[in-house]
Amino acid sequence: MIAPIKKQKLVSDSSLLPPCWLRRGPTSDDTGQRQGRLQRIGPDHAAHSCLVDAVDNAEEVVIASTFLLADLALTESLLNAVARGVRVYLLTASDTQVAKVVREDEQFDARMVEEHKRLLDRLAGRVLLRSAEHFHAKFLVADPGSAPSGWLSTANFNLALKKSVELLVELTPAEADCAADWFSWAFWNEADKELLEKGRLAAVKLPPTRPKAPRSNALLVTTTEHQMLRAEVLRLIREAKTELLVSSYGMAADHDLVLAMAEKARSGVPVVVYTRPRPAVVPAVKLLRDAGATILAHDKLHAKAIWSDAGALVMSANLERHGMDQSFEMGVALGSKDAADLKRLLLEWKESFPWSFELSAPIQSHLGEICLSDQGLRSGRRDVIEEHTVAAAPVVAEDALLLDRAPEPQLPAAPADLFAHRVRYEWEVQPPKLPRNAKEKLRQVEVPHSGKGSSKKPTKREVSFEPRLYRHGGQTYVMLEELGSADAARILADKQGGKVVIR
Amino acid sequence: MITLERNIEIRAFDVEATIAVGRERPEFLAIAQLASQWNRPLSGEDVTRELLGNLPKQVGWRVVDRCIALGLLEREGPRGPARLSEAGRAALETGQVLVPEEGTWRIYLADDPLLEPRLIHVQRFVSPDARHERQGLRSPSHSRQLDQGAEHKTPGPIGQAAQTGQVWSSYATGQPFQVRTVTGKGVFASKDKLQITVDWAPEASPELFLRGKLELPAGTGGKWCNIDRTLPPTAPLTSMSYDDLWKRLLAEGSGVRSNVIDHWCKYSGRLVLPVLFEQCVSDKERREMRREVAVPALSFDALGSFDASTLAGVEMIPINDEDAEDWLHWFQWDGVKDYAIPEQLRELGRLLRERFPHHAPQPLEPEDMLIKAVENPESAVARFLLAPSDLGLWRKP
Repeated sequence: MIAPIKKQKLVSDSSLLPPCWLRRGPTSDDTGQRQGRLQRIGPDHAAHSCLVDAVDNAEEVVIASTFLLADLALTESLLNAVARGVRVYLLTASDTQVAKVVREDEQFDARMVEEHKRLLDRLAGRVLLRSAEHFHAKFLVADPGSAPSGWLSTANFNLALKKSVELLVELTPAEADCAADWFSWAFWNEADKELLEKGRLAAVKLPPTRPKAPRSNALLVTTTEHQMLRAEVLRLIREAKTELLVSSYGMAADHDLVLAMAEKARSGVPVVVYTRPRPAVVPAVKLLRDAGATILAHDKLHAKAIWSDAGALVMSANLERHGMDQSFEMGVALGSKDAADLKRLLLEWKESFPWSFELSAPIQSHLGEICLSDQGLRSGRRDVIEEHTVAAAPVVAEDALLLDRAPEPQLPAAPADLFAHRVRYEWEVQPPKLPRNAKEKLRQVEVPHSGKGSSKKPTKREVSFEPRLYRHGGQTYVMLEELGSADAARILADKQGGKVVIR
Repeated sequence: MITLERNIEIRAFDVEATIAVGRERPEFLAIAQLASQWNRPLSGEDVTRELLGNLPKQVGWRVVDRCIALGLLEREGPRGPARLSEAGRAALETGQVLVPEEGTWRIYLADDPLLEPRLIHVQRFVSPDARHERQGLRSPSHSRQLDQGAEHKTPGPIGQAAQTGQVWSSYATGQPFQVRTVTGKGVFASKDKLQITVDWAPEASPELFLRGKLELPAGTGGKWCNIDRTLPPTAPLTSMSYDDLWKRLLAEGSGVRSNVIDHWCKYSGRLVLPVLFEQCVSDKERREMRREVAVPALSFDALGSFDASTLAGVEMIPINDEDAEDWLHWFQWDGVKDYAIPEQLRELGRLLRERFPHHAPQPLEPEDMLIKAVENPESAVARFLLAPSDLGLWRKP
C-alpha cells in the first residue's frame, strides 16, 4: 500500500547572536606561577602559602586587611601567632556589608558569611579587629617597623586564595611599612566597630590623636579622604599609547575610568579588558566593546590590575564608585621590571582566557558554547551548533499517487535560545484517505440472459468501478485497494476528475 | 564617722510614791502665764479680776493656793501673794503642769557611764483605787519576792531624786516628772535592755541615742513602751576628742601600732591609716585609697565597753616611698581606660602623682608601661597601649 514519505529542508541562519560571551577555549585554573614579585593563584596553593608563611614568620606584629576572612588555615596561623606573643590587628568589612555582598555577588558562596562569622568569633578577644562597611583592601604585613614584609592581594582571604584568578604582589619593606601606615589610618579614622569579644561589637570612639596620613607614596589608596589610586589609574589609561591592558572584576559603565578606557579604545589604541562574565559588568563591557576594546573573561577572574605604556599597578579596587571613590582600597605601582612581568602575564591571559565578549556576532562566526550576557554563567550558558533539526507538522498530499507534489508545510520558527548555523526542518507527507461518509459511485452494465436461444433484451445492473469510485462533498475519489491497481486508479481518477485515496 | 553601740541594762523598781507628772492643765498655766507677764507676785484679787470674771476674791486666793501646791507659784511667807516659781517657769516652757499623783509606780533607772545616773521613765500602776494598787504591788511575782524576803531598799538615785526635787523628762514620752515622796522599800521588777549608740562625725559633736523598749507593769494598757531618744552627750564623751577615739579604734582594728598611726596622722595632717601597698587586696581599696576597718569589741575606761564596730572610709596612706611608688604605678596602669598616647600617659602619671603628697614616687614612663603591656598581653590595659603604639599613634611627628 502507499506509505507516507519523509521530506526535509535546510535553512541557513544568517542572524546575529545577542550580546554574549563566546567560548574561546576551556576554562582552566591559572598557573600559580611566581613572576618576580607577582604571585598567581594555582593548584599548588603557593599564593595561600605566601600569606600563611608571612604570619608564621612574624615576631612582633601582624596586620591584615580583607573584605572577609573565611580561610581556616590562615586563621589558625593568626591564632598561633597570638599564642607566641605576636600582636595581630585585623580590618574587615562589616558583617552586614559582607552578608549583603555575598548575597548579591555570585563569586561568593553563601556559606562564607557563616564561616566569616565563625572565624571572627574564634579570633575575638585575641586579635584586635575593627570593621567598616567600606573596607575592601586586601593586604597582610608582618613586623612593620622592625622587619617589614608583606603582600598585597587582589584576593580576599578565603577560598579565592586557592581557586580564583588573582594576583598577589610581594611588598618591599618600604611598601610594607607604607601599607602598615595606611592600615593605621583606616583603623583609627575610618573603622566603625571594634570586636570586643565573641559576638560583641562596640562603636569605635575617637582615637587619642589623629594619625598622620603616610607621606610615602609607595602605595596608592582610596580612603574617605584620598583618591590617589583613582588618579593613578586614570593617568595610566590616558597615557596609554600602544596598548592598554586592564583587569577588573567589577566595572561600572558610568565611571570615569571606564569612560576613559572607551575613549582610549575609540582613539585606536588597542585596549584589552579582562573580567568575569557577569551580568553586572555587561553595561560597561558593551560600552567598551562598542568602542573597539577586546573583552576577555574568565569564570574565576577577580584580579584587578592595569598595564599601560605609562606604568602598571595591581590593586584591590574595582573600576566603579565603590572602589575607586569611596572604599578603603590599596594598590601598588610596579616598577619597570615588575610591570613587564605583569604585561607578560596579562598577555598570557589574553591567550588563555576562555571567553570573549561580542555585541552582535554572526551566528555563522562561532561554533560552541556561549553565555548570554544578561544571565551570567549560572543560567546563561548555551551552545551554538552546526545544525539543528526541527520537526514540522505532517502534510497530507492531494493524491495518494502524487505524494512528491505535496506542498511544503508551514515551517515553525526555531526556539529563541537555540543557536545553530542551520536548521533542518523535517516533515512527513501522508496519502489522503477516503472520507468516512463517502458513497460509492457505481456504473451500469448490461447483463445478457443466460438461457439458450433467449431473445430477451439484456438486463441492466449496477456494478462497482475497478478500482472503486466514491463521491463525497462534490469530490470524486478513487480508492486504491492494492498497489497493483495503481495504474488503473490513475487512469480512472484522471478520467473521472477525481483523486486517488486509500482507505 | 565613728559609730559605737552597746546594750545597757535598765532596772525597773516598783514602789509606792508620790510623783508629779506633767499634765496639760491650761487653767493653771494661765495663772503661771499671768505671773510671768506681770513679773510680780499675784494676789487672789489679781486672779479673780483677770481670769475669773470678778468672782469673790476668796476663790482667787484658793486658786493661788492650789498653784502653790502644784509648785507653779511660791510665796515667801505663810500667806499673801505668790510669784512664779522655777517649776512654774518650766511648766510654761513645756506646756505641762506637774500634777502630783500618789500611788504605786514603776520607776526605770539607768546606770551607764554615758548617761547621768538617772530615772528615765515612770509608769503608774493603773488600778481603780489605792487598795488595788497595793494588791498589784503584792501580785504573785512580787509576792514571791516579798515572801522570800526579797523586798529591796529603794535605790539611792530614787531617794535622791525625791530629796532634790529634780524634774526629769521621760525618755519614753518626753513628759516631765518629779519624784516628790517615795517609800523606803519596793520591789525590783524585770530587767530591760536598751541600746545606746554613739554617732560621731568628724568636725562635729558626738550624738548619743537610746533605743529599745521597756516592759510595762501589767494592767497599764500595753506591754511595751518604746524608747527612741537623742540624748545630750555626757562628760565622758565631751571630754574626749574625735581624733583620739578614732585613732584608738583604728589601732585596735588595723593592728597598726598607735605611735605609727600618730606619726602619719601628724605628718599628713589628716586621719590616715599607714599601710603597705601589698596589704591592699582589693582594687576598690587601692583605687579609693580607703577601706573599712573592722574594730573588735573593746572597752574604754571612761566610756565603757562597746560591741564590735566598723570604721568606714578610712583613708590609707603608703607607709613608705617604695610602697607609694608601687601604688602610683598601679594607679597608672589602672587609670588607662582607653587607647592612649604617651602625652596622655605622662599627664595621667602627673595627676596621679598628686595623690601622694607626702611621698616622692616616680611615675612610670610610657615606654615602661609599654614593656609591661608586652609582658601582659592578656590584660585589658595592654590593648589600650599596644594598639596605639603598634598602629602609629605613638610615633613622633
